[in-house]
Amino acid sequence: MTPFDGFLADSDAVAAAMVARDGTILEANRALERLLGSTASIHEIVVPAHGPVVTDLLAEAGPSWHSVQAGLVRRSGDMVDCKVWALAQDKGVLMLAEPLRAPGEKLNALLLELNSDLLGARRELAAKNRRLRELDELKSMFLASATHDLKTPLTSILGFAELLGEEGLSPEARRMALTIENSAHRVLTMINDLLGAAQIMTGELRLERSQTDLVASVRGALEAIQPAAWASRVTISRHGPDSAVAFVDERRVLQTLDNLLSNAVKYSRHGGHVDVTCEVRGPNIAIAVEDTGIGIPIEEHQQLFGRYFRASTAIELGIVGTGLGLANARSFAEAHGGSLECISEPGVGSTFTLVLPQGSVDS
Amino acid sequence: MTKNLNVLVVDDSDDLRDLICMVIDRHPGGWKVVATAADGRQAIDVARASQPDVVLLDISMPVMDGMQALPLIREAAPEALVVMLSGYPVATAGQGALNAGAHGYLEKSDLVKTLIPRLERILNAPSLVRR
Repeated sequence: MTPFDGFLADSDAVAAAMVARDGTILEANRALERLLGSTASIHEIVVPAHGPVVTDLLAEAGPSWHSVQAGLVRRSGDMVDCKVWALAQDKGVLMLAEPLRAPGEKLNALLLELNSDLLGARRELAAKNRRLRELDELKSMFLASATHDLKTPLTSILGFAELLGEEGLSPEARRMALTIENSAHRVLTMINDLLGAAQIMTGELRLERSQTDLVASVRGALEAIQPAAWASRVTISRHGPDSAVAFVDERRVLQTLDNLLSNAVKYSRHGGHVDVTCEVRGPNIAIAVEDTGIGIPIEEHQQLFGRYFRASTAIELGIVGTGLGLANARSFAEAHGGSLECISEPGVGSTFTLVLPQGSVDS
Repeated sequence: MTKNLNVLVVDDSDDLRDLICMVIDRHPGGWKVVATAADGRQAIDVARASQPDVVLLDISMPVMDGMQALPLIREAAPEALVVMLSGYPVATAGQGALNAGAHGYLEKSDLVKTLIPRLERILNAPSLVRR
């Protein structure tokens, strides 16, 4: 019983034949007949140039497999390069023919495979991109409506707290109303930070510029921070010209000033002081907010403007925050062609400087 | 300062409606809230009945929102100035409202301090045709 009697006889993949030492084909399987056609002798299907090698292979066939490379002639008349194997058996020599692919053919086959892989990957990528865009849109819509819904009751709280503060109440009650106003204002700031961050991340940030008096903006921001400053016993002073006009998005600038002042007060110890200085520096206007607060360690300065980053000094003291305010503020500043930088020393204080180009209507 | 204005306040939030009413009633020039409504459909009927000088119209409301109600309110009370109110900033939705026929657009923030001054500014805008 030879392998030939078993699977080889019926194989469609491996061309095999039982060959006599003189080359006569005693038995051939289906695969061989399909590949090379019916033939009486091995010599008829070997390319003449390779005849001798195959003859030698046959003659020297022994108990272990040996092989040579030879061209075999196909039924169709064309030549197929093969590795020809021979193993001595009782009946004769078992020979196998393994078609070799030409190097060029191998490369072609590989390229075809890679190409179809690539097409598949591209389709998958396109589908995933579509899904991502859908999710992104959903997220934006959700964020917009969530913040809108959150702001409504907050506006109500803030409004009534303000009205309450104006009623003839005891000093104790007035202080409570002020605290309510403070906290509500902080939540409103956090919501605005979230919405701002979402807009920046999805590239929806669009500046609405107009000629704005930055000194008036600073005055407005200072007025808004008064309740919080009062509650923390922090005094605030302002220096600089009476007006300084720049072509900026007033709303975003106010948001930035709110953020800087809110930080200055938040991170200041009781009895501390915040100083706001405006000055014209060539084509730019610089607004510096200096506090005598807990400061930021030097090794954290680089990360300070990163999204969600909160300084260790802040976390240690359990001060609440989203970590988005400074990231947004810097994005707004840079969108104007300006900058936001920080100098700080732990235990001494921090100075944040916002620089905005004065710009012109044509810029 | 414009005196003795009759105002219609339309907003689906009870609290904000109350707040706006309180702020307006404090106005030294005798502004008065003559009517309120909680959705666009209600607003049209109330506007027709009360014929106010100013309508403060919230945008996002159930049943019928402010933008849909706007032309119908203007039809019901042609002499009224309609100012849209919204939680969204001017930059986002302001121009759309103006294009649709509103006389002004206010963002619902810092109402106690700024509602009246901003309304005064809209009332005194040079683009408004005086009756």
